[in-house]
Amino acid sequence: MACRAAEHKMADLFTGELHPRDRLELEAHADGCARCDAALRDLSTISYALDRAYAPLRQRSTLLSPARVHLAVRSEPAPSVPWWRVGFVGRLSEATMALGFAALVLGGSLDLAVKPDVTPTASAKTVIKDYFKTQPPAEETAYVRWLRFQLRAIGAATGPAVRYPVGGQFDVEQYSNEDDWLNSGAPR
Amino acid sequence: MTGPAARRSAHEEDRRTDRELVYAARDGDMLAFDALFYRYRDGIFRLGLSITKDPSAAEEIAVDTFTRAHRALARLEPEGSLRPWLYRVAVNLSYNRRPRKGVILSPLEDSANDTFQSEERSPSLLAEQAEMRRMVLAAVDTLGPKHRIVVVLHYMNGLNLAEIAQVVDCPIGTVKSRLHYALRRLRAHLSAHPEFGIEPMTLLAPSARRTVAPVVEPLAGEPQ
Repeated sequence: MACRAAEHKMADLFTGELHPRDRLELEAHADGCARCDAALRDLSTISYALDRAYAPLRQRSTLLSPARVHLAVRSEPAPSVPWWRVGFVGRLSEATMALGFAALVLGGSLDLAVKPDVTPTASAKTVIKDYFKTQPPAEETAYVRWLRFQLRAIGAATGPAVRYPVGGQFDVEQYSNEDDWLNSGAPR
Repeated sequence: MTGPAARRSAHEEDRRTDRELVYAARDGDMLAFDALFYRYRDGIFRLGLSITKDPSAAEEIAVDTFTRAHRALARLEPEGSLRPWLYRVAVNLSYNRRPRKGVILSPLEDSANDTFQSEERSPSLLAEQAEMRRMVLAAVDTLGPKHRIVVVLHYMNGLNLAEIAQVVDCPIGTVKSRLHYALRRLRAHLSAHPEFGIEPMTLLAPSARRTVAPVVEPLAGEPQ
């Protein structure tokens, strides 16, 4: 048995909780260990003296009545209620807070439900600008320029460049007589 | 016997366990709560007295302890005994108060009964014993709070190691170490007084061990 274990066994011995078998082990250890032997002897004396010293104090009692406890329990201050929980204001504030909380929870859950999982590729400003680029302008000259620009863009993408009227005037040679509806059927 | 004395007697003879009394008190039975009060009143009073050295403070501690117990009835789940829980509250309340400095609880007035009961002992012997008790209690006061409370809970209140461990909220091994350390400190302190027969921290021969006062009283018929 180590000295540390012997110390614990001594504590058991002094509190009257040591098993007789353990007491024999403790005494066997003390026989071979002068330090533990001296401790066992002296601490037994101290423990005995403590027991004797506290013996009269263990007889002390009090005439305290439970009525003092009843009085203390009754005179305990009521839990303080803040002003926002008193009367009509309290009810109103509670209802408002409950509604607000419910809206927060519900709104949060809806937001989560419809949240798109596609990351946006362009800002709203860019989308609007692109939209108006594809729309014809209202003013006549600008419309003609816009139309020419659109046609040129299509021509560049689809095939060789097509000649179009320059300067806002149509090339007469491009029109066949059959297509000239102004002169069709008219006497020359 | 009628009146408060009869009621008190009935409470003191209440055979119900702590757990049953707590559940009854939780249902509004104040008589059950009073029975708990009478059961543990003196122990808590003594504990508060040994820490604060002030009887009126010790009574206030007892009242405060039971007031807290009443407040905690709803969530109190005593596993077998309520005692460690009450003592733990009382220890905390006691250490929250400033103890009276330089006051040693004198067992002189308490040993007055011994004086009348044991007339065969001489007054000088009684005075000598009282002086030795005073020296021991003064030595206990020199211990630190952690070690003193273990000594007080065992030697004053009779708690076992497991209950002390619950009160001070630490493992039993720690309680044993603290008790051993406290006793060693007391030995160092009291070895200056030859009345105790303790030689000052010397290693003595093992053969002298069984000549000191026995810890356990010998059985009848056992050879001395």
